[in-house]
This record gives sequence, C-alpha cells and structure tokens, in this order.
Amino acid sequence: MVAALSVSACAPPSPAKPPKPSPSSTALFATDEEALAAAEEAYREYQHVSDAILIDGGADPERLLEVATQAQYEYEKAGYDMALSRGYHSTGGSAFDSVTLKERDDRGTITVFLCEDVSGVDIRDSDNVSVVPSGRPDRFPLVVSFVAADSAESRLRVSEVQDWNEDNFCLQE
Amino acid sequence: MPSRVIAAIAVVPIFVVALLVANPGATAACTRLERELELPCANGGFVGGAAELNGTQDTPGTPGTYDPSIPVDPSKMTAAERDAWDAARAQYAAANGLPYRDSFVVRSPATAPVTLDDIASFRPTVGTSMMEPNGWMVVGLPTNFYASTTAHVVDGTLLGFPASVRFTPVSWSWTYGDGSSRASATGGATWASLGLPEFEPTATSHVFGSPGTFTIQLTVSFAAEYRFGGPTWVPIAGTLAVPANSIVATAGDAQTVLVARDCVANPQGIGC
Repeated sequence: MVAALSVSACAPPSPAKPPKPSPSSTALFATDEEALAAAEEAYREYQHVSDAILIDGGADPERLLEVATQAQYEYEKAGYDMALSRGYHSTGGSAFDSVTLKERDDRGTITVFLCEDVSGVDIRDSDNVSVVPSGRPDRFPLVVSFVAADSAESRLRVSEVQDWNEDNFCLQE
Repeated sequence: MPSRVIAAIAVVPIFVVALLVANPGATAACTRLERELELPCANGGFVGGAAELNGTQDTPGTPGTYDPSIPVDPSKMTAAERDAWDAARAQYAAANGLPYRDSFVVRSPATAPVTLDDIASFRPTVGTSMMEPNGWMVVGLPTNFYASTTAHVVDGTLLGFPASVRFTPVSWSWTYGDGSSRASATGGATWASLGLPEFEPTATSHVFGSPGTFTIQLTVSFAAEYRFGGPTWVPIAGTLAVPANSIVATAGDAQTVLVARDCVANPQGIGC
C-alpha cells in the first residue's frame, strides 16, 4: 500500500484514471466483472464436460474432476451412474444465460445465479426413445458456486450446483 | 451446543448438509439427471425435509472457527476432523441464525450405498407360477404360463433403523424342463384376460415339441428400493432373483389328451 501510494505520488497526476488495484492483493479478481467472466468461462467448460459424459451414457465420469471439485464430482456421479445402469444417454448440448453475481469473496469463491437451458438436450433410453417427461420446463434457475482451481491461477472449478426454489427468474417472456 | 441432540438424517451425503448451512432455505441439491428427468432427488433434495430418523446421539468435538468460504471435502476428513468441523459449523450456524444439522449421523445409513445384501432380511413375495391348460400340455401347441407376482412393500429393519423396501418385479424367467427357457418383461396373464382363444401364443407361452413329463421352474427378478421415514424411494443397484414354485406337467399329443375329455362336457375343448 505504501509502495502504491509513493508510486502515484511520483507519477504525473491523472485524475481521470482511478487507481488500479494492486495485482499482489489477496483478491483473486479485481472486479465483479472479472469474477463473473471467470465464472461464465468455468461453467461453460463444466457444461461441456457434463454434456460429453451424458452423451457417452455416463461413461468416464471422472472427466468432471477437470472442471469440478471432488465433492461436486461425487455428487453428480450418482446421476451418471444412474444413466449407466439405466442405459440412458443424451443428445445435444446444454446452455446457460442470465448470469448474475450472488456473492464472492477474496479467496476466489464465487456464487452466481444463472438460467440453465436444456432445450437442446434430449435424454434417451437404450432404444433411443426419449425419457424426458413431457411438459418439463427447459429452463432451470440455478445457484452455482465456484472455487479457485489453484491459488496461483484465476481458473475456477464448480463446487456446487443447486436448484433455486424461490422465484423462477428463468421464465421466458 | 446446538449439535448435541439432533434428528439423524439418512441418505444425505455429508456435503449436502454443508450446502444447507451455506445456502439455507431456498435451494436443493439434485443431480443434473434428476433435474432433467424430474426424478426425486435420491441424495436428499431437501425439499420439504429429507428422510429423517429419530435418534439422539452425542459426538465429542472441539469448536473451532468455520469459514463458509473455505471449500471443504468432508469425505476426506478423519472422524476427529469431521467432529471438529461439525462443531465449528454448528457454532457458525447458531451465530448466524442458520438451520443446522450435525453430520455425524450421516455415517450410519449413508456412508455407503445400500446394497441387496443390506436388505437380505426383507423377503419379497414371489407369487404363484401357473399354467393353462392346468397341468398338461399339447405337443405342438402353445401352453400359456403366467404368474401372480406384483409390486409390494415389505417393512422391516435396515441398518438398524425401521425402513420399508419396495419390490417391483422386472423380469420373469421360465425354464421349461425341455432344455429351453424364456425371459420375459411381463408375468403373463390368462388367455381369457388377454382376450385370446385357448392355445394362442402369448408373450409367455411355450410350445413343447415332444411328449413327456416336464418340470417348469419360474424365477422372478425384482428391483428393490428402500426408504426410511421420508417420501422418497431410493433405488438399490442390481436385481434380486427369487424362485417361485415349480410345476410338474405332462405333454401329450392332441389325440392323447383329447380322448380323456368329452366334447359335451367341454364344448370349448380343442377338436370339438
């Protein structure tokens, strides 16, 4: 902090520019925007891997560990195991939108609201017949939490995916 | 200490309990597949309360500091670490007015998935193996086999707690005693209830190719699900094969059979 002050004291005055946060600060992300962007990127990767596992009928679920914490992996693995035992597989890919920040802290834990969109996903049994209940909504409001994959990096992993059971902010207009 | 006397939670992985503390009230944890197929969340959706068992237990623990932003993986903790973690979380929950349940109880019914071995004391009722014509077959014509097996619930004790197990028949396998067998996804039904004339083929019929006396054995495979107190049935991996009664019956050719019957007494009989 002292160093930052003395640097700005020596530098020519530039009142239009706010002082940049020090990169050595404990905060993993300087701004909410950076944190959100990292969360979106991490969730995009998470969905991609999750889609790939379900397309493969639940095979090799450990792939999720690349993009999720151990606990989240173990939780989701029950679903992949069910797909394997029932002979289910998916087609297509899931998407998401409407990401808003719920909270974040200096350690890189970020929680966001988002809308999961599975309108492009079908889940089928071994006879290739869809097992998705008719009338099921295609969009789910979720609360997704992320933690820093590595303290030295700004890459995030998904640590929790939860259904949001209060107001459904994902209803389409 | 808020964690001293607490209702036990069954079937809830420990990290779900942690989620509940971090995000009370409005969220529930389901797997993606459960969400997209609208299945009950077997690992404890926490919607309207999880399966709860009555129990009073005490765990020693040293209260510490709990920081909900620190990701933790209770599955890797030692028992002592988990107790300390429980205590710290309880303190944090109390200080912040959050609902809290001690996670030590998770070690009893939920540490490992319930297996078919765990429910060995729950015996499914296999029903009765039947055939028509009753006790005899006509060589070259279908004999209709069927069973009275239905889905049913058996109450008992599972892992030391009162529980129910629901058995659903999923497969019926007949060995006909003539070297052939058939597995069917249906238990079959009488010709009359299928709306078929006698000696019509059915999903569970069999044609004997030569005369003789045969022992027909039915084995029914059941899928099993369990629950403790809550509303959600939790599937158990695998199926349970249970033999039904065996039937000893004689196959003869149509002529042999028909001489014993009278077309006046049995005008519906074959050949009349």
